[in-house]
Amino acid sequence: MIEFKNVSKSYSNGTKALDGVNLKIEQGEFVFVVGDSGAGKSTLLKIMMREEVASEGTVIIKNRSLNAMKKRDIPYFRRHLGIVFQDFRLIPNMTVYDNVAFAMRVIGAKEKKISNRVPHVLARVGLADKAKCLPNELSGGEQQRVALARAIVNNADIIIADEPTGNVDTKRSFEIVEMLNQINASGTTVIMVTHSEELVRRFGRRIITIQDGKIVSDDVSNVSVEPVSETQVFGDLDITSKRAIREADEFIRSYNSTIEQDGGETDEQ
Amino acid sequence: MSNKTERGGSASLTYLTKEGFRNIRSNKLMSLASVAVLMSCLIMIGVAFLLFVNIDKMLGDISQENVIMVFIEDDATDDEIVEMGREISAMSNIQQVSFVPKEEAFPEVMESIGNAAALFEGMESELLPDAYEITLRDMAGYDASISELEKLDNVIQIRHNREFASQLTNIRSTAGYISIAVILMLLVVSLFIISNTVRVTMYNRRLEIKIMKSVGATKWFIRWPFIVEGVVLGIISGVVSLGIVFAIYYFAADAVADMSGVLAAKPVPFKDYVFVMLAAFVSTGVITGAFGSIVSMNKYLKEQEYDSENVSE
Repeated sequence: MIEFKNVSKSYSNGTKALDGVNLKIEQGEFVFVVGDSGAGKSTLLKIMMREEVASEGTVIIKNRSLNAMKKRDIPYFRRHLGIVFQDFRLIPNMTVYDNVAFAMRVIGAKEKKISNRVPHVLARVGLADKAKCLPNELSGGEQQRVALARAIVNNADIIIADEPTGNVDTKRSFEIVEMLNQINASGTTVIMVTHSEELVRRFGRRIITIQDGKIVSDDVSNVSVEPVSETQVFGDLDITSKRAIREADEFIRSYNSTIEQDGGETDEQ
Repeated sequence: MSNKTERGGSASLTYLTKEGFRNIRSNKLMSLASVAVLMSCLIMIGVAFLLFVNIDKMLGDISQENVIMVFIEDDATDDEIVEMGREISAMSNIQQVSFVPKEEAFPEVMESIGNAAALFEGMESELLPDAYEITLRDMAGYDASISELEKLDNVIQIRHNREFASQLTNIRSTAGYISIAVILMLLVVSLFIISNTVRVTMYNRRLEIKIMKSVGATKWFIRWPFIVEGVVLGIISGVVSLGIVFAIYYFAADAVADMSGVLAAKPVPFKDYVFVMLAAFVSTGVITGAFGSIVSMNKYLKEQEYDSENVSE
């Protein structure tokens, strides 16, 4: 699914961010990428997103060579990706609902489809009742969950998360990774850059360590043999995530009762 | 990936247009500022244009008075005279030809010399020859027309004021060049202003643009709202400044009319040019708006690419 063959990246200022990286990630995998600041993690992700192009070597994602990709094809390629940033990147003057809907609108989705899909996704990240809030009314963890909802709303095949827990306290960090776990359980590939050893230790996943632009270890030893089942995930949830499930239930109830109202609004438009 | 094939239907177009208006609303002060500056450019363009039109008309009027008289041999037959008139009319640069028979010419001359006419009392109109009075369409072709006229048969003399004509032509074309230069300069300024506004809007919304790019919005999808913004600002400026130019012209024309005794020239009526100017203003607004948006956006998108090179980990 994702393959790096001997990839190097040098910037015009002479910095060599990646140096002969070989990497293969299969569909449905969950991979942590760890390494010190400046090790080349972000460059790795940027090349995956086709924000940067490898100076040497080839990058193949979903059977397509990113090196040879035409500029006009880049947007369509990016629709396979769901990207989550450390700083959330939510639009401050848009509600939670609109922030998620925005990702659908800007690729030309129909409003009807959006109004069906967004509440579903918000319920999935446990924010059904926050749909009308503005980002600054939410906690850091909640904001990152909105970003997560935005990343999955277009049914991405690959979630790329660049330090998604960097601005969130430990407890909320677990919550977010737990959610990524759930997303991964439904077959989506997840690649997450992180600094947190605690997280990496707790979730038994493949760990790729980068140092000075090189992959120094690619550790699959602590990957759980059994794929994580949904019951396992739910059993492992802490109280906050249980609250998320409760929120989802509440949402479904309140959503059903407001369907009529929403339908009326749509007709008026 | 059910969405990736959707490239945006009419629903998207509505959305994109709405976004353009949202840009203007969320950016009120800047929008207002750019409308104001663009309007002042358009007003200056309008005033420069009307000034040119009036000067041109005035010079045109003056050159109309600069007639060429072709005096005809006394022994020319009526047929020859008629034939001559036909030949003159057939020439390329002739605005108007009129036959002035000696019977008419005499009292006119008498009148023009005023008191001195008393000296000629009792004299016959036979003194003067028949003539053709000719006005030219384009003063620039003055010399060519004169030499053409000189080739005619039965001509005694051609009376004309070549120097005056060439001066007029010079003034007219100089005025034309200056107007074009001024208008072009103002157009460039307008373009710069619009593109600047759009750049500020884009800077304010760089987060949204980043997100749009990361979720796979096409370049045109990102651009469209900004083009709408530019075009709408252009149209507003165009229409409002036309109104202001009208007001300015109305008062200025009044003032000029008061002096019309001195100038002996009436200002060109505004309504003659209102549609030309409306079309010009709105299209200037639209073109500068759209073009300004595209130019500034390409700049911005390029910056984005550079931006991503400043790797931060």
